[in-house]
Amino acid sequence: MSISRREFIKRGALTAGALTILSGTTVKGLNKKNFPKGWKGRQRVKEIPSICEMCFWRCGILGNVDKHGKLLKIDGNPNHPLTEGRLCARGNAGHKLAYDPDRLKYPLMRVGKRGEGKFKRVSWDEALDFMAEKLKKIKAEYGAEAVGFFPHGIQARFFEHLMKGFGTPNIVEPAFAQCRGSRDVGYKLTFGNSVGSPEPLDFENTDLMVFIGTHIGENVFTGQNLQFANAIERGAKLIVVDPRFSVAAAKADYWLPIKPGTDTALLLAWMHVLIYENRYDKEYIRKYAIGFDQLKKHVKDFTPEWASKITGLPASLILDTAREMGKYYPKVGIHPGRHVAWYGNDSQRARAMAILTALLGSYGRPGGIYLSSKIPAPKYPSGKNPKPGPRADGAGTVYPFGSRGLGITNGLIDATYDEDPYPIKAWIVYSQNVLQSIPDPWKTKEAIDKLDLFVVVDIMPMEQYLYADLVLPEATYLERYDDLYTVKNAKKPFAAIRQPIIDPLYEAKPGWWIAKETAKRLGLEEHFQWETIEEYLDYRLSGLGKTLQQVQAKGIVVYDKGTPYYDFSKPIHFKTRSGKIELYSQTLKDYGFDPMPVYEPVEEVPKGYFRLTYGRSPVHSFARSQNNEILHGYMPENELWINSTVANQLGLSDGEYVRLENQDGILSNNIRLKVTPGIHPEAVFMVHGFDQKSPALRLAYKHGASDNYLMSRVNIDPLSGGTGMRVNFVRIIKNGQPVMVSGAESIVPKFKKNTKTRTPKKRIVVPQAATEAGESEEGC
Amino acid sequence: MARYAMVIDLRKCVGCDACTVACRTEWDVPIGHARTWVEQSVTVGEFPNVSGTNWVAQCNHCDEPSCIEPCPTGATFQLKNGIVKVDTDLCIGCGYCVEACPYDARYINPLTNKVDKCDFCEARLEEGLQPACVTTCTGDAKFFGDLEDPNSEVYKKVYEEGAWRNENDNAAIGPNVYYLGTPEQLEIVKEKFGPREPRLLPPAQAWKNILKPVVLTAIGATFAGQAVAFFNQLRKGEEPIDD
Amino acid sequence: MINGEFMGQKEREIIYKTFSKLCYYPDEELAGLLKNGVITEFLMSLDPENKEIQKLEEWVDSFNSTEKLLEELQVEYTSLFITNFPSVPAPMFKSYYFENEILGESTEKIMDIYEQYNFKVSDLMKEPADHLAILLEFIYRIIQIDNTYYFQIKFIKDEILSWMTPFKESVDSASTNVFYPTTIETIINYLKNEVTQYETKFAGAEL
Repeated sequence: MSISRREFIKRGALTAGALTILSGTTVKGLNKKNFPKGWKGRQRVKEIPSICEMCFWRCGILGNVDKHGKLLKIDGNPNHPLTEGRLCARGNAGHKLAYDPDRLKYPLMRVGKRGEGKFKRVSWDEALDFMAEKLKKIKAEYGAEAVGFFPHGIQARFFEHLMKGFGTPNIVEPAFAQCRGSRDVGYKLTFGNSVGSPEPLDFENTDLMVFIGTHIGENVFTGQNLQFANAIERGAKLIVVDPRFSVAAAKADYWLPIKPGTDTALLLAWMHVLIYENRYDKEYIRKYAIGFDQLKKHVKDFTPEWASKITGLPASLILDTAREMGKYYPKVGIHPGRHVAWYGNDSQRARAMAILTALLGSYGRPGGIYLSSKIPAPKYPSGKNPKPGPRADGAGTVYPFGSRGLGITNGLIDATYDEDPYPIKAWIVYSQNVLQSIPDPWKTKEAIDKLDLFVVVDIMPMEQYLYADLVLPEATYLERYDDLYTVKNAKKPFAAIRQPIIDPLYEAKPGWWIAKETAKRLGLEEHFQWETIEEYLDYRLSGLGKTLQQVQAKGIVVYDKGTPYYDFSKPIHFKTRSGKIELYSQTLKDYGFDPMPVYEPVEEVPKGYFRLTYGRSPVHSFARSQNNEILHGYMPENELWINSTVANQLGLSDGEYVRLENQDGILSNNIRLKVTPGIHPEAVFMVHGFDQKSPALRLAYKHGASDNYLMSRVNIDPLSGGTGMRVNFVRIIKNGQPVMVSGAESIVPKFKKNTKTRTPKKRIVVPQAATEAGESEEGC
Repeated sequence: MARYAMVIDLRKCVGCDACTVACRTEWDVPIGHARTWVEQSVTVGEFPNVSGTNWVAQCNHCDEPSCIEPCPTGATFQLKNGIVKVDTDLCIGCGYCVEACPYDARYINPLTNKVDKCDFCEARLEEGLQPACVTTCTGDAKFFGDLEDPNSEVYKKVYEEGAWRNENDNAAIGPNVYYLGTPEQLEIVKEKFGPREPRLLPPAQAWKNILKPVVLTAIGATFAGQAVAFFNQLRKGEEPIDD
Repeated sequence: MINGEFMGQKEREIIYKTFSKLCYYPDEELAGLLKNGVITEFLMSLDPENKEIQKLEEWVDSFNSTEKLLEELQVEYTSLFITNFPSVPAPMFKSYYFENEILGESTEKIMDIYEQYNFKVSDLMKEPADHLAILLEFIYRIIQIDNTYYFQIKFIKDEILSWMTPFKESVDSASTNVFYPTTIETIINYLKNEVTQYETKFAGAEL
């Protein structure tokens, strides 16, 4: 390229040119009445239905767009069967995600060393060619299984489809091991079905709701929230077990402020009362369950008095609440919980909840847990996947009941770190935030160091992008089509479409495009035989007798399949080994686990320390919404809940900033104290997802404290592989000095000594049937 | 004629802030200010004997609004259907009404320097829509309608279920946002969120600073009645008089 | 030249077109023009007093190939204007400075102005309508259609100079080399100069 100044001036020889001349008439806004200033309604020209993705619940939305194609406001879609046009704070603030100036805009390629943070913008062609070449090379050298894929959400499904076609078995989502995996294992072992998502609780007909750690109202799914509130209005009773006086607890008839970690003892005592006072559903148990006699014997000594000593709850309260359940069964809705990765004994606790549900006869009955139904949306024909090699994450081997559909994130990180059972050479992280959602982020970073290729597909520059070799900007949920979203867990199951409300900003691309284009470069076109996404969606909707065009106006197709309860006039087959509800699990026994849940004490909180607990806020989703301008305005940082009596003793006051130091000497960022009578003295609580470590997130950077970065330890659930995360202890540091009761001292030296030596992994092989069922839906 | 009112059922409200975000995006309310606001998990007592509530508030569109009289320009006025409105063309951002509202339901928008507050989404009502906060409420805890219509939900909740008005000795001016709640909840509300005393500046004192250049020269020595009449005219569409 | 009279229409067209080019993601063409001295000569002709341009020339000379220079320019552009670690970048569009969002109200206002003149941002252009490069290109287009100053000067003042102060501060503090601070400064100086000249010439004219 050489051009002289004269030529330059003469020709003005430059290829700039972004403006084109308009042809035809210009679009004008609706000429409505003279509405007051500031009201956006008057600029509205189009209303487009779609589904939300500010969290994984995907409520129905309507996007209001102006003549420039700008999204003005998001409303709820009144056609959505679960939310009826309502939308939570995050959904209402969704447009700020699309218009966030910090979002990823172009494909970025790393220049210089990993972690140095030097990138250059590249074209999609360059980016995808680079990725495909690397993947091919790794496959040739180490096998397809050397590629780990970390997806989240329906947007990642196309790429997941691609990775299966590529041949890797190592596809892992935190939805299992960091969230609801243990619950699914416990319920599946008992009823033959995991409960699935959303939890099919029949709040419309329930007389008594029971929450164990569930904090609806703070953990908001609009549909469930609505049903919960309506049940309260209807006069349904509520029992809440939670060390924290949650929003739900404040509405409860009974609040059981349990000592953290002792829930299984309470559940066993409840069973004791129901069985020994003959307050359970005898006919249901006789007909549909096995192992009742063993269970009866098993819980004989688990009296309310016994549980009272362990849980710190009055025996009379345990007795009264058990009797309430005995009074209202089968119309008792025991919420199975969602994020249940607490102490490492979580699958057995979930078993206890499932058994309790069975004793009350509420599974498959009105007012309890209803049944899900299939939606006839056929899969688009695709090439056959190669038979994948053995998994590296331990699902089905090290963790015999770990899901092979969702995988075990921490298992794959361990495998990458240890290069055991084989080296993992590439990670593709797709819409996950691996450093803020999976505990022990230090290990995760060290594992990243061992990779030849680390690709991040994301919307926002989360911390992980700093380590990436290649960053691919994904279109937001407001800018793309996605796979059909089918909801089986609804009284009337339905399918919903996501369709673009606005054009993608910058060069962000939808997931289906990224996957299809990558497939071309990997020679895997046979897995993407459709030409356009519209054609793909038409095919899937054909099973419901619709075309995409027909669905676009309402956004939703409801599929009515009749009553979602068991028909007790016919024989009922549960998908367990015995065909019945398994109060006693021979399967567990065979694999060397307790066939019935046993209370195992958790480690006591050391003197001067608190147990670190965490949860949700209604204005943030995970660790991903903290940079949203509106949501940040509501909650720029999290607070640390601390018991007011304890705070008084320690001379701590509401609103002051402290830091936390955990048992391994790790210090948190500053966090503001919320002194409240509403929390157990042994525990402190914070909302998850704060103290974002990426400076590219202007608002969220270093705001609040990160629970995940205080989780240097986990207790792994031996059944599921789930990471029990409430096993970390913190002390409070104020002005650089520890604030502790007299006589207490640092436990760091003790914990340093006790650093667990890694035990060799025991691998057994569990038949596929024992673990799989409805586990492929993501979420959480 | 209608009399608009709202009922908020605190038993159902989970304090999730869906309503306040919907309001913010509907009306471009700047961050740090609010037309409606929520407090979640207000807790009293000693562990484990505690009680708690969430709290939602907004302009109450009172029967006897304390915000109208202090307004020197007549920008604040009440419609026959009960909605208390601010005419932003007349508002001079003096903030007297902000002080006068015992519920702190008004704020001065820093972008426009005008007073802003809830107007029951009057523009949406004209379109046949409900207020944005009602439509989006995830707990179905907000009800809006006409108190003079015996078939309306708000009528039933106010006159049959006995929804409660947030009044006390500081201010009893007939708020038209009513609350339903358990006795424990209402106890907390009374203690923590009852109205304060309206801070009314003496009218003459109040107007002196503001009106001097604009009005005093035009109408000379004045008293309250004249000034109000004068500005009422302005509101009806006459050209304001420049100094 | 910068202190002289308004330049001719053709010259102004080229100036704005070049400015616009300088504000896009650097490509081989730009790197080539920079490497063989055309860009520095151009900048110097606009702002002969500016000593920084000499430094820019030296900096360019320190690269032994156009490819290396291009990569450096691209890395710098990415970190300054797109996504960056560890310091905060300086987004190159107006609504960031007024509404702190992409496609804010000020962007929509600018889109309205484009529309009035029968322009729209091409679908191939992936930056928002208030991106500096597009604003500068718009002036270039307007000069071709209607070379009266009133509208152009108002547009420069309202839509560009109104956010140049914070923008330039961010560029200056986050830059790792002289290229963008120097070019941005030259552009701003030129724009300011046009405004001053206009205001002196038509003193008292309301803008």
